[in-house]
Amino acid sequence: MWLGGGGATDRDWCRSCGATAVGVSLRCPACAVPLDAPDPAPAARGDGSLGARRAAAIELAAGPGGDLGGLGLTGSETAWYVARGAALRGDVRELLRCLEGLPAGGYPGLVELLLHRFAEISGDPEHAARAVALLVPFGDGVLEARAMRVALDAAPSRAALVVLKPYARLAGAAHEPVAATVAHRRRLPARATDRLGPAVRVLDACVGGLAGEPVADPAVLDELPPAVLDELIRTGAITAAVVPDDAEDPDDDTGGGDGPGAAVAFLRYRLAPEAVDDRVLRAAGLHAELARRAYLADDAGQLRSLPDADAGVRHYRALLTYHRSGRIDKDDLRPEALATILAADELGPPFIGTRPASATVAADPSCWPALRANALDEKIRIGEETRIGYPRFALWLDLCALHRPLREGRWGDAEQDARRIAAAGDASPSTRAEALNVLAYAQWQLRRPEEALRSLDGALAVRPSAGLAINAALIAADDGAAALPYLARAMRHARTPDTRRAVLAQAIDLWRADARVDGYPPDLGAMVRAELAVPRPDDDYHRELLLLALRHDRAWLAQASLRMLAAGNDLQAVTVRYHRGRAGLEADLTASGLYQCADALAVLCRPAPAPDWVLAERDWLVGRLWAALRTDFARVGDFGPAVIALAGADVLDLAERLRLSAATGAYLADAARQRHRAMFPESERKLLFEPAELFRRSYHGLSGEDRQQIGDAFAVAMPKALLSVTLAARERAGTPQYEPLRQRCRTYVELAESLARLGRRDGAP
Amino acid sequence: MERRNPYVILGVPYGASRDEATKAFARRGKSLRRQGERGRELLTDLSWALSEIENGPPDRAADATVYRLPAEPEPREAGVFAPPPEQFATTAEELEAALRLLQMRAAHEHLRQMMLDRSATLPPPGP
Repeated sequence: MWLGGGGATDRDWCRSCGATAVGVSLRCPACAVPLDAPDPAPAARGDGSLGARRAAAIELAAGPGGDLGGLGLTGSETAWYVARGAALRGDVRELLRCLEGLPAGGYPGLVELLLHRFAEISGDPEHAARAVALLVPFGDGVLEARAMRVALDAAPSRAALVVLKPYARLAGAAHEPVAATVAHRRRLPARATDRLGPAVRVLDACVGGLAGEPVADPAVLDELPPAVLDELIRTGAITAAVVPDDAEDPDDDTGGGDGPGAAVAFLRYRLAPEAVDDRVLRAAGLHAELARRAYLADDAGQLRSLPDADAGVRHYRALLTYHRSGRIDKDDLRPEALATILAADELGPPFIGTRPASATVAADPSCWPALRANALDEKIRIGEETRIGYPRFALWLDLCALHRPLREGRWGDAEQDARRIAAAGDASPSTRAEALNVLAYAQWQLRRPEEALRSLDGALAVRPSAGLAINAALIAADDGAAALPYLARAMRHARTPDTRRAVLAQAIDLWRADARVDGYPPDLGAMVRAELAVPRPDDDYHRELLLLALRHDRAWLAQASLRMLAAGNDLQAVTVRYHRGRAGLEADLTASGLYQCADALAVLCRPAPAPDWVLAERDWLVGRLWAALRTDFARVGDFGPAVIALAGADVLDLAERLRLSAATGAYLADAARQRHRAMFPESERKLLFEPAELFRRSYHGLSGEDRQQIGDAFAVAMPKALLSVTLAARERAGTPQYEPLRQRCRTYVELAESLARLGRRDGAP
Repeated sequence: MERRNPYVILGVPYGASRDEATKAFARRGKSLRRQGERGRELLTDLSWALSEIENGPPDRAADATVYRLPAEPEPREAGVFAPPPEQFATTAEELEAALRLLQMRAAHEHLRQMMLDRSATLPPPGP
């Protein structure tokens, strides 16, 4: 080490770390290097020895902006001192600038200077790149320089593995175990967990996973490449249980952070390919799978939107093109698929004569539907070798060939061949079920319906489906409603709402047409109930089902919950409410049932003009209300709210509304009097006071007969109501309730007088 | 017994489109024209069958009055034209490359860590 001027003075400096110290210490308290005298003045004048001038240079460079020009040192030496001073001060930009002025590779101490500021340099990509350029001239011979160059590279490289262990030896024994485990892909020592970076932890978890240990840390999963994830799934180290669920959805932009990212999305797909949606596939970058789905959905637009660079995307585009136009793109189709497509293309389009089926086509059931037209016409031959090698295909071809005897009415031949195919051991469930279906058809045509039904029962046992059940129902329909159990079965298996509806319509028609059927068959009831449980857009159809239930399944309808009675819209919801209430009313005349119906009907009447069925129901309900007036209050209860709801909705004609209100008011007043009470003020207001006032106002617009009837109704109601209020007031004399009751009495008297005046003017007694 | 089934008469599967029915009519009708009286009768049958399909409901799933041959559309079995979900058969080379990448990342990270440690503990460089 070069030594500058000696001796401690009143202000000493450390030539090594640049610290200054005041006092008598001979060594730097920070780094223990001997302290130097500070005064550069003689050297700065250029008249000192080289040693003194160098000491002065060190002193001047220790602070910013020191002028070393007058010291008579070479440019390189000056740059070196300035660089060193910058390094000690932490001025990385100045450090790099000065070092770049030195001869390339000429100052080995440069490596040490850069290492001194490694943290700052490695934290800034621009600084790192400049430092790497300074280190390059040292080549691979200087370990520190090489290691730093590798460490400062933005991307990891193989060189990191090469220098890792040698550098660990240089860096100290504490680093060697970790370096060795990274270099040899071993598990980390049990205690080597302090200050380990995420990449080391990921590698460690991966090495453990490959050895069969579970990998459960989502942070680790997110860092693993697909090939490793795939292998860890294969070894069982990653299971569905450790993959974050929707709580960390890749598309979650609700502030939950970046989500699990591509790796977890990939894992979800890899563990349950059919369960993930397109968003997850996009997050995982699985363009080929997105393309496959677009192909299956016949979505050319989606296929166009996917990246051209992906070979899988190009394959599915070419496959869709073939599917649509028959054009074969040999460049983009995957080779194994191309062979199959070329073979299928030989047999799919129309051709003259017959052609043999190749093993390639026979081996791929996805080709067969495209061959159906030619197979039905028996244009596809099958050689003995292919028949033996691919028995399923052979049976499928035989099944297609059955259509000729059916077409030609050769039922016996069809029966014989269908029976043989159904009995074949190699037949798939779908082929066996279809052979039995053909057999049943032939038997039916041969007027053996019982046998035909047995064949279809067998087919349904092999592979239940709506189509088989519908066919069985058609055969059973020869015996009328005996088809209903099959139709009920068809409805259970139906995949579309239209099929369900068609099946139910058929069931209803059969039931209505069969005079032998007594009552409502349970199968039909179950079908109607099942159909009512599913929302339907068609209001008429919905009401038709409700009517069936109302007429024939009343007890169930009255008790059915809203879960059992789905509604496709608000109107259907009200219609359900009405019919359910009505079903209850048919069984028992209650105030709550009357109110439920009146309230729903008030809504149903709103669109003007109301539909005919609503008007008919209104008349029915009014009839029930008049019936309630003839029933004991103790049995029906207070149905005033039902009348109020109906009257308030303006759905009754004025005369009927007034008569019904007055009659109900009289009925409730009587009931109140018997219980030593007055009517509820709200009922009194809506059933008597307001209608009486309305009657007075509308008097001259009413017919004579209506005037008479309404007047009579009020003539009965008012005295009854007055009596009940008067008695109630008398019983409550001296209480706070007395005065309001007296006021109500006065209102009755005034209204009665007012109505009496109208009647007298009209000549009434 | 079923009186007449337009699909069986035309020799097309239940649910065949109007276009398919028309093609089948043309194909079968061609040979019948040379068969005299019997051919004319069969041609009448074919015409009836074609008009039944043409005038029937467009969605045959919503018809429960005709015997279905086949009873159900053929199941879509996996193959070239009904491809199963994309598989990822990782090769040994791909796995090795991925592991090497993880290893390089770890080495790079640990190298930096060692340098940071050394930088913090080494004394400042001499002049």
